[in-house]
Amino acid sequence: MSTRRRLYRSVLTAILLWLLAASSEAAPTVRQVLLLQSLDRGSLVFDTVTANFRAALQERTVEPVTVTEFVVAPAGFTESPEKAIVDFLQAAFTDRPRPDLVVTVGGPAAAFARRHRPELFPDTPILFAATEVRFLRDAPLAENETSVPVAIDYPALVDDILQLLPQTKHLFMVNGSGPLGRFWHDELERNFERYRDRLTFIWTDDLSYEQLLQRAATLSPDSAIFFISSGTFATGGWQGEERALADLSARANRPMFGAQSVWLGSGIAGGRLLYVEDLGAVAANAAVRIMNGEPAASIKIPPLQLGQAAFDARQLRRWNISESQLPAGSDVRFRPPSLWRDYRREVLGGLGALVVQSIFIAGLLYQRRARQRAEIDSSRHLALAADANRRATMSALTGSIAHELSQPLNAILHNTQAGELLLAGNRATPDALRDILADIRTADVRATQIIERHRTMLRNRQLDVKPVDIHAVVRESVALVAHDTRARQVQVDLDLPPEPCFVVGDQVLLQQVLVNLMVNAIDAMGEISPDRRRVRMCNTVGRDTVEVSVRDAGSGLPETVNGALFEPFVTTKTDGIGIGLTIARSIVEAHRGRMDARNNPEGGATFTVTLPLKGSPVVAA
Amino acid sequence: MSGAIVHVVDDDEDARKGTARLLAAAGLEARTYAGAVEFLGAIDAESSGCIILDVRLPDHHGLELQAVLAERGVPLPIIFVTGHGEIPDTVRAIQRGAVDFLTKPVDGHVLLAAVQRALARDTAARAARARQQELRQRYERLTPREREVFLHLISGQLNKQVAADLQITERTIKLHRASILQKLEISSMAELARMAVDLGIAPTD
Repeated sequence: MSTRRRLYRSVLTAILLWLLAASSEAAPTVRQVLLLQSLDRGSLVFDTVTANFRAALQERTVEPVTVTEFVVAPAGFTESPEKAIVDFLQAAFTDRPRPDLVVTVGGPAAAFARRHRPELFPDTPILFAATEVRFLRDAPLAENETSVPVAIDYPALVDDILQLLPQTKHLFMVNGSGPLGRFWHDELERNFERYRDRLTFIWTDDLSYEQLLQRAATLSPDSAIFFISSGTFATGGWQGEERALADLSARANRPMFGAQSVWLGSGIAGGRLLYVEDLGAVAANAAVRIMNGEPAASIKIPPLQLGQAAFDARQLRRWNISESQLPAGSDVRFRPPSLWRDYRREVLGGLGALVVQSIFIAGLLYQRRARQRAEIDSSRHLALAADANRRATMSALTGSIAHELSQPLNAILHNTQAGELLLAGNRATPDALRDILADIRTADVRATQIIERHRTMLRNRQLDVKPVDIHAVVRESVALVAHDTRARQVQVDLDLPPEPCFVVGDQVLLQQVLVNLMVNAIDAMGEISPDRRRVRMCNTVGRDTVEVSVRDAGSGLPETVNGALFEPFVTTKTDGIGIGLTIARSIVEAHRGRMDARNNPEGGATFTVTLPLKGSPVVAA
Repeated sequence: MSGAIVHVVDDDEDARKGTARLLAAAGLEARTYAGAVEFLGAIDAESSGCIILDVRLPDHHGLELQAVLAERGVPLPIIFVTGHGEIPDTVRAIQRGAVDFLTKPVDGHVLLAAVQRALARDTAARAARARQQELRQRYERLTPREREVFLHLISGQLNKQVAADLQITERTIKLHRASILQKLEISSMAELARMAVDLGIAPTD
């Protein structure tokens, strides 16, 4: 159910600036552009076009233009979400001026806009930006419509793959599922007719996301992967391209190709590319012309086609493709300046089989060393693996940073504007302004703390071993996940003795372990009803050791993983790679500590970290 | 709009205070609440104004609070604010009568415009309710017989036809009619018809 909902979910990211224009006397000349973007956030192609469009539009206009963005789900996927968006748009525009221009980004949004034009904006000009010509051919453009089209010659790209890898017999087509996936399946199957005797195309629109990744990991040696669209997946929900490319790249056993310039560096090997970076500016030019009164139909823009071939050096090396095989004049990017730098880049995305291997090896190496020497300051490997894991954990929390920051930002904005109103009305007393400034400062300090807290966790760092108050570490970890616990309605109970309790170690690493355990605990309770979602953090101080326990009320640990839980690549999550707990345990052991997990009698699981107290000779193993 | 109060329900103290200050600077009376329970304990169903409601409160989801308020007959218009708006939430909120759904950080001008719209809506709704109540009271003054005549009259029948239907004399009908117009404080049949519509009373056929 939740994955289906996720599939249909379409996130509204707009601020309804219409409100301002509609009812304020201040800005009668503000032009309104309604921008409908295809698919969800996380589409590298559409996000790029949208961002560049907005930037270029602001540059090219003198009068203020308000761009309001909505994201529309894959058109026609089901009746309900599309209707929900239509209902919403209708509600949003009741009693308000209609937009001066509607801009769609991508094929699905174009299809949506065409289908609902009569009910939503019958007379408003529409600019279909970054739209594959295949999405527009059903009907000719109307009088007040124009497009910034793209035309991708997919058969030419198949030729390129065959030239590079002549032994290829199978093409594994990542075309997404849902109507978008089926659209590309039908369309390309026709386009690829001429390869019928030479190639077998494996279509994936009926696979779940997990199945897709599994299949990609076990392809025959005469295969290549052709990434068309991440679209939506049968049961895995929408996956942004960045994520889909990363996961595929990490799991695939054969090279991957794709047509979009913005995918280079994210896992595709390369080839002739469609350079979408400029489309935003082209669309902005057309938008300005339409808003200046030029008839939309008179603006004719030829479709953007495949351009220069470019390749990712790391992928070439990974798949043993020699640069001498590349077409003449190819641009080879991402040549690594050093091995470390290369690893770090890959690690940053948390992807790449190489990296997973290197983390694995580093972790194992470290474990062996740790057992031999039990000293954390020599653990560069652990630091590396720990950095990667921490980034992965924190990137899962980045959504919350934005939301968390919105509170102090909101406060700063409102205080500032209150001050302006008082000044404008000659009502600004020194006392009132002092209060306002004090509150702005408070909110700013808070925003800084939020950023600082996350930045510490994201920084590449040297180990820093010193006495730390373990209770403070627990409190800080709880603060880091506070937004997530709130958003997911998880109650956190803290049971900490009042007086500080010192252990010797690295505060950030210990914090990472606890954040990791808390995130696991929160994830484990996704399926149960909100009133039962509780995490209990309890510190028990003994004579020589302190026990930090994280107790959840989730589904508990399955029998099947018992014992293997801390081994690399063992996971009970559908989207985890199973490295977090291995690293967490390595960190704990580096602190001469121990980590245990068990199921609670009343359900759920408890993870316990036992650490020696400062000055204690004990190894809690 | 004197006496109108803008209720700010947000668990974040900084955000709450900032918004209240902005409202005060714009000459509006604001009250703040840290959660749904606190708000429900304090709210007076009769007061006029509007509500600025954070969707995610620790003790209740904003949409739940909206439903509770509707159940309790608190008719105050609601402006939702949220860290990230999701279409389903947004649609549901607006279908249930929310005035606006804004994403934090909300520009002050946008928020004030939304508040003005909400207050205008509240004033209009309040006036409509008051008139409805007033009409209802006048209608209550009619005797059962007069109500019967009322129903016939608004269906457009002539006195003669009404008299025949009710088997009384036309003269008596005329007397009833005069009494009805007087009690309802109106002077014409057109006004009578309009009033029937406002009261939601359908004519007999």
